[in-house]
Amino acid sequence: MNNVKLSNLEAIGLVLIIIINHIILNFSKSIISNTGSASALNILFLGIILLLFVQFLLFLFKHFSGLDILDVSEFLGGKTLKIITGILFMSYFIVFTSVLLRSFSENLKIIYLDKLPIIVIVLFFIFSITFANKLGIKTIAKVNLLILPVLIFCIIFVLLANSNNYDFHGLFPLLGSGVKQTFIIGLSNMFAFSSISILYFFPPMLEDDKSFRKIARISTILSVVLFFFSIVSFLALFPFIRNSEEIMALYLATRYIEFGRFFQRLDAIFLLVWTVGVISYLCIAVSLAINVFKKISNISDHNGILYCFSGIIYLISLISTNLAQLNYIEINIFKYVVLILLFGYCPLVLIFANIKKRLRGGKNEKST
Amino acid sequence: MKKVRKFLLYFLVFCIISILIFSLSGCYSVQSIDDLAYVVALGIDIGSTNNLEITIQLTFPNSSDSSSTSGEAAPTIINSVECSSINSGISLLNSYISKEINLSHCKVIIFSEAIANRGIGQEIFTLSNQVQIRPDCNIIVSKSSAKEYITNSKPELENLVAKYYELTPYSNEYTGHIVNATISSFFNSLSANYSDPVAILGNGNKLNLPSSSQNTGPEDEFNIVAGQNPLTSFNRKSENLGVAVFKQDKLVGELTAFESVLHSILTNQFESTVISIDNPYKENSSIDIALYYHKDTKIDAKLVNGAPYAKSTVYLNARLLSVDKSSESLTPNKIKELEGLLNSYLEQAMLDYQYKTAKIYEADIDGVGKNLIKNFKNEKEWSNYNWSANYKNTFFDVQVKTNIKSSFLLSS
Repeated sequence: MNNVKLSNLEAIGLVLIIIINHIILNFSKSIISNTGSASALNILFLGIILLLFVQFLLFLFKHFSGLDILDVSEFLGGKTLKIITGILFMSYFIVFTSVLLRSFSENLKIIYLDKLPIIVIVLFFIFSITFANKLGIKTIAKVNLLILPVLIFCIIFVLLANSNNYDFHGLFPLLGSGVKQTFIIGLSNMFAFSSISILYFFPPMLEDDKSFRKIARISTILSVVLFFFSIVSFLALFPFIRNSEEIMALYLATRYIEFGRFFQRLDAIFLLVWTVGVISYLCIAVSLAINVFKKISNISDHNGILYCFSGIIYLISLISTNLAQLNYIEINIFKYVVLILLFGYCPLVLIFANIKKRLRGGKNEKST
Repeated sequence: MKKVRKFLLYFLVFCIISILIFSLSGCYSVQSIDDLAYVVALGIDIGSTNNLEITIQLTFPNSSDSSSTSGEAAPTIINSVECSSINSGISLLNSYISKEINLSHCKVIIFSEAIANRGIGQEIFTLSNQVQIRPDCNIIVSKSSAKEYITNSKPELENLVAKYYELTPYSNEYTGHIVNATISSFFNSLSANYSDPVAILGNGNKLNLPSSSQNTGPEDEFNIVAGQNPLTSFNRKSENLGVAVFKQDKLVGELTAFESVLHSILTNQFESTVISIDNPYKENSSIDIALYYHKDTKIDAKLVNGAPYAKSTVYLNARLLSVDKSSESLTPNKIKELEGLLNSYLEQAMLDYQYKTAKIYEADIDGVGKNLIKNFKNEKEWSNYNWSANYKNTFFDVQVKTNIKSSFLLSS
């Protein structure tokens, strides 16, 4: 995978598919339940912070051109820190891929496949992930570019087709549960932008080293825009969303779509498209986990690891006994893991690596 | 060895694809439409021996076949059961009916007035939790029992009862005498802390009205509710007319057909209607006016000395339907005079209507609260204000801006 090079468009596509899947998998709902009617304001605020954070990351990566977070960790703390960072990221990708896979499978089961055992539904995704990953990240990124326009079109279509049902009074009171809840406690909503995890691994994967800055900025802005519009739409569409536990809000939005008395019940089409989108997202997450494992273990053939990872994801996804447990993991564990790993640990590693480099007075580190 | 490995790989792929095709294409759990019994109407009454009495109306299998005699309504099956909850009732009916009950084509849910007075929150939340129930399924509150309403709902102009239930609420587009109250809008209003829900007011058994010695004036003609429609010749006993007003999940009152028009105008659901006003130029005569949507109604709500104040600005277009010889003198000045007359008539009617919802029903069905909420900084301030209890203290002001375009073919 280290030899695989992604074009700018493919790289932006990888970030966007993660954000789109977070919208599909109801992350917007988690944000709304935290900050209520102030969620739109909160996302704008977080968007600004995120852009500044990405700018800061780009500054930190400036002296480590072509290196990812694992290489930087190795530079800072040798093999040990590289392995620790690798295990952290690998666990993050595998555990949360499993949780999100189970979450989507449960939603599918509730909506359409009520008679099919959950193990069969999850298995369907596991097969897809395994076969796609045998073909490599380049193929996944290219197929992702084919799926992405359809997914974006579907989301925009759902949001626009519901325009008659919008009631923007749902955005009031503007400050939701208060200033503190919106701007201080609401900072924890940053977990929704966990798509930036992929940015830590982009530098060696890009065709052009210099385009990393451009990709990071564009994908961040697009992520904020997508999240902002989805949250505004959900607040305007569902007054109950602030204090209820419902399944995918985007799916509920599709149920409201009707054009006259003839075109109704379009939700099945969207669910099909989103299933393909979720598969693409899962493939990317597994591919990243394999990439991390390959780097920390120096193995060349990834097929054996792929089957192991697929099996582990399958087993972890079946551990939860109900949706409440999954929601608890998503809201209470995932949130803090993302904040600690992506917005705490990784920047710290980069900061200390920069300090070490400055102390050594060395030149730019290049991957070998 | 390489060939064997390749063969094994192909065999594995073939097996996996076969498993997925058979498990995901429906073969795994065969369930075709022939195995399902589609409910078109669901009635909920208070049971005599149990909590509820559930009535379902099922379409007769193959009732849409071309072989059925044209012009004759397709038969339906009506079953009722006494039960403790909606789901247990459906389960009991499932054990009686040879097919599995499916609610995905349910067009209306009818609640009897008695159960609506008791509160239907639990039932609405239960139904909203059902994947099969569509958000556009209409909610009707019947003055008679729901069972009676369903039994007497015999379509005259359609062969399919499902089509009849689907089309009936759309009459609000050209009469405004009912509202298009769906389960999603009801659930949204019930869940939000700034509005109260409404439902279509229906009646399953034509009421016998006491004969009135006085003639009904043109302005009172539409001040009627379901069961009071002055039809002199009719076959179907059930009808929908007016609006059922809820305070949260409890039925607190009803609005007449004319008040339903006013409600539609204030909530921006209005499209067109016909009203009659006294003719100022001729004694004992009335002018019929067709009202049309022009622009969305603006409700500006704020707190004045701690009390809520709501000013509504209504924009309508109108055309004169009644023309006679005197129409020849419909000069611009006269049209302006008529506009003034119509505006003051509608303003007074709307004020009466709004004060009725506030003082008598205490139910914010026009969404004044959601316009007021922006004056509050956060949700805590809003919940402390207790809008539900404060709505009755609201002062209203209405400004109607009607633009009479012309009459139709015969103009001045």
